[in-house]
Formats: sequence, C-alpha cells, structure tokens
Amino acid sequence: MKDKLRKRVREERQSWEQYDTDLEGLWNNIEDQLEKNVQKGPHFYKIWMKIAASIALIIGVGWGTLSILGGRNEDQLYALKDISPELAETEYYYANRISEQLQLINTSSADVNGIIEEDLALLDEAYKELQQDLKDNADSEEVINAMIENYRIKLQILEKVLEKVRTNEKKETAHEIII
Amino acid sequence: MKLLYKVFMPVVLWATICFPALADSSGDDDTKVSKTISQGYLMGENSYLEITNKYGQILINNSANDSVNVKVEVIAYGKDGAAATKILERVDFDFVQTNQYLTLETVLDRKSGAFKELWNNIGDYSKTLLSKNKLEINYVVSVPVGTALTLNNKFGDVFIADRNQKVDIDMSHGDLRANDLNASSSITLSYGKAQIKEIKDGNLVLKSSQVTIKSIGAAGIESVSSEIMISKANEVTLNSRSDKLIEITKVERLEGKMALSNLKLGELLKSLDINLRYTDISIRQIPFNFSLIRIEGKYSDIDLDFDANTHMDVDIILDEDQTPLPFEGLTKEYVDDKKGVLRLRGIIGDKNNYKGNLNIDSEKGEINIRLQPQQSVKSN
Repeated sequence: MKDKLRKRVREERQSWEQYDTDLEGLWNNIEDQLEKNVQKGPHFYKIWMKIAASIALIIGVGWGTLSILGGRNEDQLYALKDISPELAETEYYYANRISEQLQLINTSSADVNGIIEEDLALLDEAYKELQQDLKDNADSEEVINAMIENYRIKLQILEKVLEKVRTNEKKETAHEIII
Repeated sequence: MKLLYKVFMPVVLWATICFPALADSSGDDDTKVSKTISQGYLMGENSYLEITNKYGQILINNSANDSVNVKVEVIAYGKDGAAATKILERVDFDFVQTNQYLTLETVLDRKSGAFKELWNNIGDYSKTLLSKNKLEINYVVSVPVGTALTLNNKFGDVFIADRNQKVDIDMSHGDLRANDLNASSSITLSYGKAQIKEIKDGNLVLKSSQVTIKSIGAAGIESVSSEIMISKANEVTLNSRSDKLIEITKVERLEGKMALSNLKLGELLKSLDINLRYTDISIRQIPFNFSLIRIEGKYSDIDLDFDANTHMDVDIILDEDQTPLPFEGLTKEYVDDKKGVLRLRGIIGDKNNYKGNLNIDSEKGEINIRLQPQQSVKSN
C-alpha cells in the first residue's frame, strides 16, 4: 500500500509543481503583518496606561483631599489636646502636675521608681486603648471622661507615693536627731 | 458555625426590622432613636455563653428553663433624627450558636468601608467628637443557672444573679454587681466599682477600682491603685501595688506581697506570710491559737494586737531605735551593730496554749505589738 502511494507521488510530482513558490511575496506579507502588530501594540498600551494613570491620579488626589478635609488618618490617634482648647488646657494641667510630682519623687532617696514606672506604664496602656475607643465616635463624652480620669489616677498615685516617701523621710530625720 | 450564623442572622435582622421604635426623648434637646432585638436559644447541659459588648449594660438573670433569652435594646442619641438614626445603623450583632456554645457580640461599623468612614468624617474631627452623639447598647439575658459565663464589657455596668457555673468577667469603665458566684470565678475590673456578695473561689485583677466583697473563699487578688473591702475571707493571696487600702474584717490565711499600699486586718485567724515595701499593716485581733505570722517589711509600719494568753516563738529583726516591745525574757543580739540592727529571740506566753510563730524582719519601719484581752471583731 505504501509502495503504491510512493510510486504515484513520484509519477505525478511534476504535474503538481506547475506554480513556483513566491518566497519574496510570502516574506513581505509576514513583514507587513509584523509591522501592523508592532504599530498596534504601543498605541493601545499607551492609551490604557493613560487611563490607568488618570484613575490612579483621581483616586490619589481624592483620597488626599478627603484626608486633609476630614482631618483624620486611620492610624492616627487623638489625645485630649486635639479635641478642644479646654481639654488641651486640662491635659496640660495634669501633665505638668504629674511631671512635678515625678521630679520630686526622683530627687528623694526612696527606692520606688520601679513600682511607679510599672503603675504609669499600665495607665499609659489604658490611655492608648481609650484613644482607640475615641475612634468609635459612639459615646465620645464617656471616653473623654475616662481619659481625664486616667490623668487624675496618675496624679493621685504619685501624690500618694510622695506623701509616703515624705513621711518616711521625716521619721528618719527624727531618729537621726534622737541619736 | 457559618451555617448557624446564616440561619440566625436573618432572624435577628427580622427582629430588628419588626421592633424599631422612634421617640423623641423628653427633657433634653437630643433626639433619641431605639431598636430592640429579641432572641431565644435552647441550650443543653454544660452549656457556655459568651457576651462581648461596649457602651451599655449587661444584665444576667437566671432562667427557669434550659434556654437563653436575649433582649438587646440599642438607644442612639443625636442632634436630630437623621443623626441619631445614622448612629443606630452603625450597630450590628453576631449571635452564633454552635451546639452548647452561644456567643453574642456587638459589632460597630461592620458595613462601613474605609472610604465610607472617611467620607462620614469629613469636617472638623474635634467637632464630631464633641457632638451629642451617644450610644447605649443594653443586654438583658436570662441564662440557666448552670451555664458557664464569659462577659466582656466596656463603658457599661454588669449585673449578675446567683451563678453555679464558672464566671469569667473582663470589664472596664463600668460597675459590677454580683450575687453568689458559687463556682470558680475570674474577674478583671478596670476603672470601676464592684459589689459582690460571695465568691467561692477564683481570681481578681483590679486596676484603679473600688471593690466590696461580703465573703470570699480561696482567691488570688492582683490589684493596682484600688480600694478593696472584704468582710470575710478564707485563703487570700495578694499581689498589691499602690493600693489605697485593702481591708479584710476576718481572714483565715493571707499571703503575698504589697508595695506602696496599706493593709488593715480586723481578725487574723490562722496565718500571715507577707512581704511589704512602703506598706503599713495593722491587725486588730490575733487569737491565741494562730499558727504563723511572718512579715518582711521595708519602710513599713507594723501594728499587731495579740491575745494576752498567746504562747509563741518570737524571732524579730528590727532597728534598735524602735519603740520597746512588750516581751520579757527574750535574748537580744546585734545583727549589724554599725547600722544598729537588733535580733530578739525567745518563747513567750502561757505554755498551756497552742504555740504560734512570730517572725518579723523589719528595716526602717516602726513595730508596735500589744498583748491584751480581746473582743470579737464584727463583720460588716
């Protein structure tokens, strides 16, 4: 079967090859197609890039504007001083008093700094949690009151420590005088 | 779990839609809007309920049957109806039951994306914060007495009736009132007040809180900047820092450490083992049959009243410029003669009585000890 087919191909080959292959034309066609594709590619690519860039610009500018107008950043936390001048004054008052008390304790001979640091760190942590709660904007009055209370507790602790330290210092001085 | 959520959420939403109430509050300028959600769940034995809430109360009643009945009222206040409704719409709930476990959770701003939130907050943020916005989310839940409870609440009070199963409470910026907690309990209270009738045993963590307990069994108490009043305690382990006062009217055994605090005991029945720094201690009554008192104190005043018939082995290290102690026949030796540190040792009292041990190691603190006939201390 195979031999018959081979014989027939050999016999009729010349009749099949009556047209010459136009290799030049073929290559020109291919080149044309290639050029078309090369021209089409960058053209569409540029348009899409422009559209994408415009969208990104609109979103970016919009987001930025809203952020500035809104005055709020998702990660930003607000302290009392950021809320109102009155609360800023309250915060300033407590911060000053706390700083004064801390200085007085530090200048004393009492070995209480470690304990106080732990107490204050605990209250700082609670204050940060309250700042997070403030972002809820659900019952700000309650949260703001808790923030003021946080400062008040800090001051109370330090005042109590200072009182204790001073009482002990007085006792020591009295003993020294007796001796 | 997701399937149950899908089943229950429509019911919750239906309840939300069916029971909304709109009413102007009388007496102030704010507009009040509210909605109520009611739901019931059948619970098996050894069931467990967890509630997580913010900006409102949780009231736990005992239910007569095996079911948990939940009623939540959400009340929003705003400068007008639209503002109040906007706040109301921010509140959502996740109620999920999986076998014997039921969790009820308040969710704020579930639907709002970052862009919507940003859009909502355009304007002066400080003005938004100082607006009359106010939200209350109040739970009233009937729970079988044998269901274990876990409650998390912030900015709201918690009320609990008698419980026979484990109770675990973590709350801040609110007050707690509880009746008899008859199983192991864990209570973390920050920046609030608590009144508890009875805790069988458990742990208390207290931060800047005021706590009154009528009766407590075996308990660990960790406290900072708090005021604690206990009428009757069995075994207490204390870790106290910067507390205003810890006062126990009658205690069997007490141990732990305290710094910058103040401890007052009405009657100490058996033993005390405590380390004190800048903490004064006073015990008004120590019966003759006590077993051990061991105090290590630094800058701490010690004031003890023993029964006149007390028989005890005494070992006290103290500064020599101390007030004289009412003991005779003790040996005296210098531990550090340059610093003037003395050690007093010996056995005193009626030898027919049970012998207790008194060990004190005091540095820079006053010691006052008295031996006198005693009267009973009344519990509050």
